[in-house]
Amino acid sequence: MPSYQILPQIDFFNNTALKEIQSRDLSLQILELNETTAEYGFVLSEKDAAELVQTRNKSLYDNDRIEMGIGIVAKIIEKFSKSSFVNQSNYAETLNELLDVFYYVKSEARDKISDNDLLDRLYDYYENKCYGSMELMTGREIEILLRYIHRDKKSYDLEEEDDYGSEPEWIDPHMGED
Amino acid sequence: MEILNIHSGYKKLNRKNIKYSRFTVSLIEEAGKAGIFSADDLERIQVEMAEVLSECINIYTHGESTSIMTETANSLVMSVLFAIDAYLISLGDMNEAIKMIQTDTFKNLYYKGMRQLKLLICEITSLLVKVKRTKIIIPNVIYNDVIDFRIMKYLKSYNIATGAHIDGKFSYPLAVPCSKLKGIYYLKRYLMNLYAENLFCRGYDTLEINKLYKTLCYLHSLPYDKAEINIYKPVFLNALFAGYLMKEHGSLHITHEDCEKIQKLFTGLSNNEQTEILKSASARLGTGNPDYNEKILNAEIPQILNSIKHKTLKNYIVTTK
Repeated sequence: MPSYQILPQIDFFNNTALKEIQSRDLSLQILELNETTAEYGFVLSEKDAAELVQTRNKSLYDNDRIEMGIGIVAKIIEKFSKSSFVNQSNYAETLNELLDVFYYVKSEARDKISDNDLLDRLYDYYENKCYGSMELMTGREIEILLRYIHRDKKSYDLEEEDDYGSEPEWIDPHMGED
Repeated sequence: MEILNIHSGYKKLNRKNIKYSRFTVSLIEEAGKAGIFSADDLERIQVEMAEVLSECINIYTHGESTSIMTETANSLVMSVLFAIDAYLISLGDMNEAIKMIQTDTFKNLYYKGMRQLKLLICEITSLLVKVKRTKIIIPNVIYNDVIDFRIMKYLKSYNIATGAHIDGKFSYPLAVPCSKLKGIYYLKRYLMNLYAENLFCRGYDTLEINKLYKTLCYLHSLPYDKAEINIYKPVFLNALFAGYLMKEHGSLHITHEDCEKIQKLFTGLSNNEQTEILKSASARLGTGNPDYNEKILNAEIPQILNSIKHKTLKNYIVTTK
């Protein structure tokens, strides 16, 4: 018997059949990206892809968001496969964590920041401020970024007092010299 | 129970369960129950709906975000379905609507729906011009503001692609409300009713209308220029009784003595006879839209008859000593 309980506004997003179709397609699309990332030495297994889809779905749900299609997953893979702090052993785990952080910031910021801007910020923090530490990024930079967004700051560049990743000015350059 | 037999061999489609307020969804649900749509059809519909939503997210976020808050997504789905409803309802035939869902893509149905809504906007714009041309000259801010600014403001902000279902709320109350309608359909009916009301009032002297409205506001202890009270209804009721008493054409003036006279004339008549008298008096008025006048009269008849019975007509209509 066909399921006819479809499309009422809320149920549309919680429809199990639709989620299954989408998840199946997403896993395939993620695996297709291996062709591009392989040149940087990164490949996701079928299990990794399925896990990434699972993280995406859970994170979207937890952060009260909806996304149709591969969306930001492809962009994150594309961007972070160029990172100097990612290697094959932490590749899948990093992608999962980044995806979670991404949707968290989008919702917390009430969509005041575009996908590309946020992605650029995350990449900059990861590469230049936190040197590949997700813990540092989520515990420090993300909260600062959200503070800036809520303040409607035009530029999200870290202000001096918030920039823990740069060398403080008060450090005496001759310190330690005899 | 009204049953529409769609295809022989299928279970009957229960028309009662198909709601105009959620036409596409209820039609799909019913067609699914009746076995008209296969499991494959239903899967295709859902996948295509997801594709349309994806496009809507892109439009809504100006391509800046691939994901949106669930609340926003719900609103977008409602907008898409509102547009598709507009198209499918315009076909005027449920069989045709089902055939369209089966043979056309949801994306096409959405585009056709948006075209339908655009036509509706053109219709509404010309209705607004008519309403403006027939506007009653009265210093009431609520009435003037709705006609001169609010409706146009709503139309300018109305987004067919992502907010087609969003209602406009106008503070000027109509004699016949259209609260069951949604989005642009609500506005169309609002303007149609407002036009019918203006048209009726044009048959009467502006000073008479102003005098009557001022008295009414005074009786309700409301400021004449800011009162959220309908203008047409008191004008119609006074015109009805002035006409019944064969007063000078265009007169809206009813005195307490006039009320007593009406009550005497109605004494001894059955409710049906009284109703017939009122209906023929209304038909003789000859101004405005007769169907609209009849609607308001039908809604008011129980209270009119009750006030005549209890000899309180002078409190029900606007009267002077």
